[in-house]
Formats: sequence, structure tokens, C-alpha cells
Amino acid sequence: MQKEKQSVKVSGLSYSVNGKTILADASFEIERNEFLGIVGPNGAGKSTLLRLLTRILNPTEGCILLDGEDLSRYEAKELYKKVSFLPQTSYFDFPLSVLEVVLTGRYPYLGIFESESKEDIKRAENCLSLVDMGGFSQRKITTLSGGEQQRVSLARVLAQETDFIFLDEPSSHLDIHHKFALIELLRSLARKGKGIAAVLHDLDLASRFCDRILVLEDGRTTALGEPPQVFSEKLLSSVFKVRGSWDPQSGNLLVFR
Amino acid sequence: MPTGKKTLSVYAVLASLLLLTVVVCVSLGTVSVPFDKVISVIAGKLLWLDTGAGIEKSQELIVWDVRLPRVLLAATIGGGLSIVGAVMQAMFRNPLAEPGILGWSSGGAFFAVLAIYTGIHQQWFLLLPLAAFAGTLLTAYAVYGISRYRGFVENTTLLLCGVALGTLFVSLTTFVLSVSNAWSMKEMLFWIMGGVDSRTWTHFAMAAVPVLAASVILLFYAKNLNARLLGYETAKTVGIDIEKTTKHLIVLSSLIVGASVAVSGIVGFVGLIIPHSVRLLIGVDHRRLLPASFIAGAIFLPAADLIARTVMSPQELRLGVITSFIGVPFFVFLLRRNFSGRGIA
Repeated sequence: MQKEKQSVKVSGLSYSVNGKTILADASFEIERNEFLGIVGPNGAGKSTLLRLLTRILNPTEGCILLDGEDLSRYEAKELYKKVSFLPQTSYFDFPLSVLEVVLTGRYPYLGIFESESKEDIKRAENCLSLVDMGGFSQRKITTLSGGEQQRVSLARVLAQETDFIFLDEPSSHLDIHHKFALIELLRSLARKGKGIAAVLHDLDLASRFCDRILVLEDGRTTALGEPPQVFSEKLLSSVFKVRGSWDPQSGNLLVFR
Repeated sequence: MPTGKKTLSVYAVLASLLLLTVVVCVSLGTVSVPFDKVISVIAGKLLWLDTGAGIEKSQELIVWDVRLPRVLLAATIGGGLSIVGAVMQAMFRNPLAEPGILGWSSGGAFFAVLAIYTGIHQQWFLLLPLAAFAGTLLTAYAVYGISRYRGFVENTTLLLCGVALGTLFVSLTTFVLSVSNAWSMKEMLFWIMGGVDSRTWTHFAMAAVPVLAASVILLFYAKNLNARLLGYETAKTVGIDIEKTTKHLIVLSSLIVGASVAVSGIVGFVGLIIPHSVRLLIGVDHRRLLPASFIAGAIFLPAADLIARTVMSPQELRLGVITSFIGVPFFVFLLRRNFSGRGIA
């Protein structure tokens, strides 16, 4: 029972728009100290699932319990002290400073006319260092590259200090070095007790770093479990139209056409 | 963000400039009144002092009854339209949003003219600004409703829709004026090309109360506006109730625009020129941008009005003509800067 209270519990979750089902009957849990990878072909409903988990969308059917309480019953500020989200696309059309962007992650903690404290600024700076963007705090966000902007967005999410972090393709703009750094950071956060769910396209990366994998196909849950069980040759060919096998020497998943 | 030294000095400079602008604008005109006399008259009236020595009755009349209400009204409207411009740009995440361009002012002007034409403004003096407020609000909602799709506002649709509805309301205003008994070219120009000529203390009070009240309340939405700059999903997941607060922002902004239009007609582009200039000075954070934009707008519009009434003196130009002359090049510059590589030619 205690365990149930300490997690995100999804049951019978469905979402449809104009009669078209985007997500059907998803049921799973995300524990604190777990890194869940969400994979699937384009249009499988992965982003929709994350938008439901973060209450950007409301489910057509089913429910999401966060620590035993239905997501819809949370006050916005209370909810987003527990749950944060890195969207697929962030918008940077106005020249906010990098620090100002990261500090928006502190907004759930601030009253309507309250400004960020020195402590908030220190936390924001720390989060920037975690994503290898220390020293960029006074730069204009508009002058950074796509990958740098993505890391600043991640720092914003970290500054929110939530128990659950949901990320939509967090590594899409990152170079190979920062891609590994990101995934290691997410894994270490999970080890420190955060519940993490990320939509990932890189199956090799997902298989190596995620604790469990959720496979979506046409809105349906095709598989859920630990990487070695989930990524069978059969599933890889039927869902992803690729061949793949586990390298017995390194224990890594090898994927090829 | 904590208030930095730079921010404080910008505020100090802006505040001094505002005082200077008021004195200069009251002093200069077809008949000029020396600065010291301007200050004496104002101080005398405000502090109930007898500073009458050496001041002619006509000078007192010019300063206190003619120019000061006009200058203060221009300052109020300039400040209000600027703060609304800054709010609209963040709310719609669109650097070209502004009450004139998005048709809000035209909607307000049409309803104001309609109130005058039907005579209902004579029933109660506040029915004129209320009508302008209703017209602004209606237009704001129409433009927003048409361009909104599943939580996102489509930028191009927003601008085009605003321009189209704005043109419609200007046409309707012209139509109503041309069939009305009060028809005159002057009347039409007043509404369409705006101005603060022959405005009294009553007009000032009518605009100042709603503009100042709504502007102060808008300051409470500064962090909300910051978060909106990062897009719908980010704003929502740092705890902003977008749907609900968009309504608040539209109503408060419409109140300011409606109150302004009711007494001064359509004065365009102020909400574009000022917030963008102030962002360069002080940054994007709305906790600094909103108050600074208000003060800068309150400096800009009386100065523009001074140009309107002095360059071709004794003939007066329309205030809206001056703001368009400055605003359109600004608009074109912003338009070019926001090109983001769609389409080829």
C-alpha cells in the first residue's frame, strides 16, 4: 500500500480527439527512483502520453493517480512542485537571459508578487552547471544554439525540483557527448530517488540506461518491462521494422536495418 | 530578478525625463509660457499657494486649463497603450501585437462613435468609455477566438485577423459618422487619426482612473507573462493557468484601450514602439518591462503631441499621424527581423 502512494499510477488511460483514438487503455506505474523509457514509432502517442501525465491534456477515459490523488484534483502550483516537463519544442523568440529562463522553474514556489531569492538564483546556477552551461547565465537565450537552448530548458526543469520529471525527446538537438551526459544525468537522478519518464528515439541508448521500457504502437501498449525482455528480435522487427540483437560480449543492444 | 543598479538608474532617468517632458510640453506651443511660470502656476494650484505675482491670467489659463490636462492625458494614454503593447506581445508571444494593429482600438472607436450617434452617451457620462471598452473587448475576443486553435494562437492568423477586423471597424466608424447629423471631417479625423486636442480635466479623469487602476493590476501578471514567452506547455507546467489568466489579461488590457480610445480616438503604434525600445534598455523580464514601458510611453506621447501641435503651427496635425510616421518604419524593421526563413523567392 505504501508503495502505491509513492508513485504515478496510470490506469485505463485513453485519449481521443474528434473520434480518433490517440492513446488507448494505457496502464502502468512510475516509481520514484525509476527511469522509464517510452519508445515507439512516430505517431504512436508518446507525446500525448506525456501531455496527459503533465495535465497539459485531460484524459478522455481512465485516470492518473499521483501519490494516491487524482491528477485533476491538484492545485496547479502544488502539482508542478511534484511534476515537471521538458517539451519537445521550447520557444525562445524574446531575448530573456539564460538565468531568467531557468528561474521560471522556481515560479511554482513563488507567491504572486514574490521575486526569486538569492537561494533560488543559486539553485538555478547549480542546475546550469549540471547541464554543462555554467557561466552562460547572463547570455541571451536567443543567441544560443539549439542544443544549448535544450540544455537550458533541462536546467529549468531541474530547477523546478520535482519528484517526477517527464521529458519529450530530451536529446534530439544534442551532440553525442551531451547526449550521453544527459542520459547519465537522468539515470543518476533516478538513483537519487526521482521518477523519470522520457520519450526516446535512440533504442540503443534506451536499452542501456532505462530501468524499464514502455513500447507504444498506434496508441496501444505493445510491451512493458526491462530492456532485455522488451527488445526481442520479434518486437524490433514488428514494431520498429529493424533487425536487432543483444551482443553477448558487451550486453548491449545492436540495431540495424 | 532582483532589482539591479542598472534598473534603478534607468527608472531614475525615466522619471526625471517624465517630469521634464510635462513641464516642456506645457510650456511650448503657439503661445509659449516660460518654464518658471509653468512651475509656479502648477505649484500654486496644487499647493494652494498664492504665486500669482507676475503671472498673467491668460498664462494661468493656458497652463492650467488648456495644456496641463492635455499633456497629462497624453501621458496617461501613452503609458497605458505601452503597457498594453508589452502585455499583448507576451500574451500572444508575438512581437508585432499592439492594440492598433490587432484592431482593438478600431473596435473601441466604432462603439464610441455608435454611442454618440445613438445619443446614449448623454444619459450618463461614463457610457461613452463603457461603450469603447465593450467594443475593444468584443474585438479582442473575436481576434483571439478566430486565431486560437487547441491552446495555440497562430501568429499570422492573429495579425491578419486583427488588421481585417480593424479595417472593418474603421469603415463602420466612417459610415456611422457620414450618416449622422454631427458629420464633419474634423470629427472623423479625431476618431480615426486620434488626438488629445481640446481635452479637459474631465477627459483626463475619465481616462486616468481606469488606465492607472488596470495598469497597476497588470503588474501582478508580470511573472505569468515571463513564463508565457517560453510557450504554452512550459508556461502551463510551471503552474500558469493560461486559459483563465488570458481572460484577465484581455479584460484589463481592453479596459485601458477602451478608456484611451473614448477620449482620444485611435492612436496607433505606441504599444509597438515603446515596449520594444524599453526591452533594449532594461531587458525582457516583465517585472521591469511593464512599469518602465508605462513611464516611457508617458514621456513619448506628450512629446509626439508637442510635435503635432507645433511643427505646422498654428495648424495642428493629428496625433495619430505623428505616431504612424514613427511607428510604421519601426513595424517594418520588426517585420524584417522576425523573418524566419519560410518560403523562397
